[in-house]
Amino acid sequence: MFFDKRSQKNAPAPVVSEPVASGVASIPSSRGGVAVIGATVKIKGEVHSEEDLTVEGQIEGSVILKNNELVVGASGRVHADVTAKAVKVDGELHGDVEATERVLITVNGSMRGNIQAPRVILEDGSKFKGSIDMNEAAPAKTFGVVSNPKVAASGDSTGE
Amino acid sequence: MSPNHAAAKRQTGVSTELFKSGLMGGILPSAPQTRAQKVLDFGAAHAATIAHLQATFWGRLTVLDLISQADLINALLSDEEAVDQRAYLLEESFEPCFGQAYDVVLLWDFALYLSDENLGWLNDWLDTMLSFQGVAHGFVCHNATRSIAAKRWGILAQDQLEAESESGQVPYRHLRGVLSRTLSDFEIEKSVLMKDGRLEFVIRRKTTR
Repeated sequence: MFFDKRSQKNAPAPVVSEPVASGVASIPSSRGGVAVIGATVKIKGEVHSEEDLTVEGQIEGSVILKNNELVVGASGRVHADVTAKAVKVDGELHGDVEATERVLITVNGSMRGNIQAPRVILEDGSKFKGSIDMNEAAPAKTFGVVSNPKVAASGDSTGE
Repeated sequence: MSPNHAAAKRQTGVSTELFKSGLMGGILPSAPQTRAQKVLDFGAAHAATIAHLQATFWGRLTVLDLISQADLINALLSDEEAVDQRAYLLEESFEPCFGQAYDVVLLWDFALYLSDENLGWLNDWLDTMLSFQGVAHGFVCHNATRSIAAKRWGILAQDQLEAESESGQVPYRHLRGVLSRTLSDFEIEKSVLMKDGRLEFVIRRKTTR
């Protein structure tokens, strides 16, 4: 029956994938505090980082950046559940995202999955399919807030 | 339109048109609420809708981006040979909303992409996915001889919609009577004529008397 929800939550077991990493990958420090996964790099498994991470390659599994930002670059393909402070999608992201600050999907970005974040910003032309949980801004808790100072212009807070 | 949203529009150069909505304000959940509400959007993710809902309600917004596939869905629903293909497409298309019951379903122009026969499928689908008190909002035509340009819709405010022009026209020009007949488990609660010939409607489940 097509209303049955398929189970897509099973995290893939860490599998070695050429040309690069597998299992639990901790991204080493790099100058400037931003780690970059290059366009030819594929990772399967868990990725942990304690600095901002830009993905131009591919990640399959999960990405955990507790206090940092994940940027899925234009050539990046992330098929993973993501936990981060902020997430910017310029490429393709399939998976559930939990962000403590914001999620931005740019005009070239494509995302499929569920978002839990206090701010979600979509640029016109971006692609999104999934659900957005709007709990942090809960007007029920703040009683009648109509204007939303948290909604920012596309790209105004990306630090670029 | 917030200054930030307006700025984003200028950057992208998207051509938009504003429409007054006489019905949207009456169906959208608003603060303060005692429980989380669930809104399902058949259209593409729209920056204005997300910004507006973030400001005015708490709960869950699910976006299906379905209207871009509506022609294909209509064709497969009409093709008795395409059982497997149809099942796959429907499962894929509706996966984000499985297991949910929605308070509000925003159909936008979706009904205008389905043939008369396939509107019955929409009736069954809404019957499954709408909560008991749930409502659905959408458009049909006021006049069958007037063509209706395809648009991508968003919610700018409780009483204002934003429409971005898409290429082409909607394929079917259903009138209010067709909707009443084919969505047999529902009744049209209200309908309002819009400036481009669309008839904005809100439907609710029929109550047993």
